[in-house]
Amino acid sequence: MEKKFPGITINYVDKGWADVLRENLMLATMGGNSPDVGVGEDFIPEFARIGALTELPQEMAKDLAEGPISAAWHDGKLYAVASMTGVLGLVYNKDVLHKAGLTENDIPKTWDEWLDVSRKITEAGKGEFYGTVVQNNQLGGTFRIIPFIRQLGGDYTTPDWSKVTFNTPEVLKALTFLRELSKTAPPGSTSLNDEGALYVMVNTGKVCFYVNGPWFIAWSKSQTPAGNIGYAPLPLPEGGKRANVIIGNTLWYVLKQSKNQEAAIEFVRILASREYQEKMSVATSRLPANIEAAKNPELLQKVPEMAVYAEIVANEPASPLPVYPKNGPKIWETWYKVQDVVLISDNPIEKALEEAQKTAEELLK
Amino acid sequence: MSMKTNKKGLPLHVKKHEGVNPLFIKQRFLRFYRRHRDGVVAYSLLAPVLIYFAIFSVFPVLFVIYLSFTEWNGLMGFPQWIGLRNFRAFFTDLDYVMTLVRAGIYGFIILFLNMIIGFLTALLLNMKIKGSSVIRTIWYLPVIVPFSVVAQMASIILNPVDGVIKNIMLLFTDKPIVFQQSAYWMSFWLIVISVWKGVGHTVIIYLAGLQNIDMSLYEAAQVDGASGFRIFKNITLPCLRPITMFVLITGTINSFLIFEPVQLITQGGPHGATNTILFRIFQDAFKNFDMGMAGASSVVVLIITLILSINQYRVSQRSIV
Repeated sequence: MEKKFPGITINYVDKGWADVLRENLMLATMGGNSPDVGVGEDFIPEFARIGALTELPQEMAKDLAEGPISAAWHDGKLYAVASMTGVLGLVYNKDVLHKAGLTENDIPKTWDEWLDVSRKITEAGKGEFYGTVVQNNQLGGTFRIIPFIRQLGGDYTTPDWSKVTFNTPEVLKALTFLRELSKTAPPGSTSLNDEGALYVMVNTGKVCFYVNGPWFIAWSKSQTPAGNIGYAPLPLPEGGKRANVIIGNTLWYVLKQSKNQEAAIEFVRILASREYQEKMSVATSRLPANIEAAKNPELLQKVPEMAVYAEIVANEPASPLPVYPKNGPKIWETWYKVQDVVLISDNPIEKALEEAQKTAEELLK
Repeated sequence: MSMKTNKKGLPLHVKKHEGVNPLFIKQRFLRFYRRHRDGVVAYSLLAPVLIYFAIFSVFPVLFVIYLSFTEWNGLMGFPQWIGLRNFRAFFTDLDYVMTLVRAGIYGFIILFLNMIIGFLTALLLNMKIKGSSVIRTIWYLPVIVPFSVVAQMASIILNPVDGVIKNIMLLFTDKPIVFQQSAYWMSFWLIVISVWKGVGHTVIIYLAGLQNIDMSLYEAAQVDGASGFRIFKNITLPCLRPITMFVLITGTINSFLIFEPVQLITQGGPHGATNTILFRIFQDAFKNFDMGMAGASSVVVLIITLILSINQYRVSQRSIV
C-alpha cells in the first residue's frame, strides 16, 4: 500500500456499530463529508441502492466465504468485502454452572434441556445468579432471535427477501420459547439498552447462559478477572435442524464521495486478503471470512475456544439478516416492538406478530 | 470647479447611449439616500439579522413544507412530489397520531405541575430565612445541568438490574417493579424528570414577580386587619397574574415539544408507548431517512404551535388590557 501510494496515511475513526454507525454514516454522506472507506454489517445493499457506494471488482470476493459475503451484493454487483466474521453460539459461565451443582455434561443440547437447566440455575441462585440472559435491545436482539426461528425452518422474510414472514408458526414457536427462557433471566435485564451490560453479567458470574459470537472470547479474556467461560453450539428444538446467522461480520466498502478511489479500493483489497486476515484473526481472536485464512492452524492453537465456532461454521447453514427492498429501518422498528412485547411484557405474542406483519406489508407496498 | 449638468442632473458630457456612468449612479443614490435616509439606515442595520433569519429560519421552514409533499431519503436524487400521501399516512397511522396525543398529555401535565410546584416553591423561597440565597441556587441547579447528564443520572437511578431505586425496593419486596416494562411508569418518570429539570426556571420567574409586588399594599392590608389568606388571595395572586400569563405562554409550547427526555431516557419505549411527536420526527429524519414523513410531521407540529401562539398572543393582549 505504502509502495503503491507513497505518503498515504490511514486515519481510523470510531463511529459506533449497527444502528448508530448506519445513522452516522448516512448523516456524513448527506453532508458530503463521508469517509473514503467504511465498515458495517447490515446496511450495504441499502447504501448501494441509494448510490452511496463504489462497485468493487467481483474477483475480490473469490476467496471469501459465501455466507459472510452474501450481504455485500446488490443487483448482482459487489459493494464490499468481508474481513472478520462470526456466527452465534451458546456462551456459558462455568463457575455459575458449578455453583448450581451442575457440570459441563449438563450443557443443554435441546431447547427443553436449556429451559430446564436454566430454571434450575435461577432457582439455585436465589437472586445471586441466574440461568440465561436473553438480549432484547433492537438490532442486537434481532440477530440473537433469528437462529432459533431458522432452526424451525422459518425466517423474517421469504428467501428472496421480497416478503415479510413475521406471522408464521415458526416465529411464534421460537418467540414463545424465548419468552419462557427470559423468565430465568435477572429481572429487568431484557429492558437494558446496553449490550455491554449483558457481557459483564456473564463474565462476572451473574448469569450462566448467553447467546453470543466469537468476539466474546477475546473480550472476556481481556477483563480483570477474566471469566471462566465455555462455548457450545446453540441448543436445538425438537425436530429442528441446525441453523445460524452471520453476525459481527465486518464488511468494508468504498464510499462514492471518496476522492481517493484507487487507494481506497486497494485498501479493501488488502483487508480481504489471506495474509491480512491470518494476522488479524490471530491478533484479535476473530473468525476470518477468507476461506484460506480460516484454515490457519495457528488460530486454533492460540485460541482453542474458536474450535466451537469453526465447527458451527462448518455444520450450520448461516446467512445474514435479510435486507428489505423498501422502508427497511421502519420494518425493523416494527419488529423491535415485537421483541419488546415478547421479552418485556405479558401481552399476547400472536397479536403482536399479526400487527407487525400488517404494518410491514403496508411498508413494503 | 463645478461641473455643468443638464436638467436631470447628468453631467453634460455624458450621453445616454454611453451606458451606466458611475457618477450618475452616485448622484441617483445620494438623492435616494437624502429622500429615504431613515429607511436606508434602518434596513442597513437590520440587514444582517434579516439575512440570517431568511437563511436559517424562513428557508428551512419553507423547505420542510416542500419536503412534506415529497418522498426523499435526503441523499439520492431529488425529492419526488407525492402530494398529500405523507399527510394521509400520518393521520391514518395510529402510531403517529398517538405521538401527537402523548406530547399533548405530557405537555399539559408537565406545564401544570411546573406552575403549581414553581409557584408554591417561590412562595417558600420568598420568606426571609437564613441561607435563602443558597436554597434558591440549589433549586435552580437542575436547570443548568445538561440533559445528557440528567439522562445518565436517570439511567443509574432507574437501571432495571442494579439501579438505585431497584435496590431500595429490594429492601421491602422480593419483586421490585421493573419500570422499563410499563408505559405508565416510564411516562411517570419522563414527567418527573422534566418537571424536576424545568421547575427551577419557573421558581425564579415567580420569585422575581413576588419581589416586585409593592410592599405598601401588604402594609396597608395589615393596617386594615386583613388575614394572611385574604392578603394572599387579594394582593399576591392578582399581582402575579402577568407572571402566570408569561409562564403559561412560554411554557405551553415548550412542554408540548418534549424531546430530550424521550430521546435520552426512554427512546420511545417500551414498544413505542412513550414516543412523542418530536422524537418521531427525529426517528423519521435521522434513523429512517424518510424526509417526507419527517417533513409532514413537522408541518403538523408547525400548524399546532402556530395555533397555540396566536391563541396565546390574543390571551396575553387581553390580560394586558
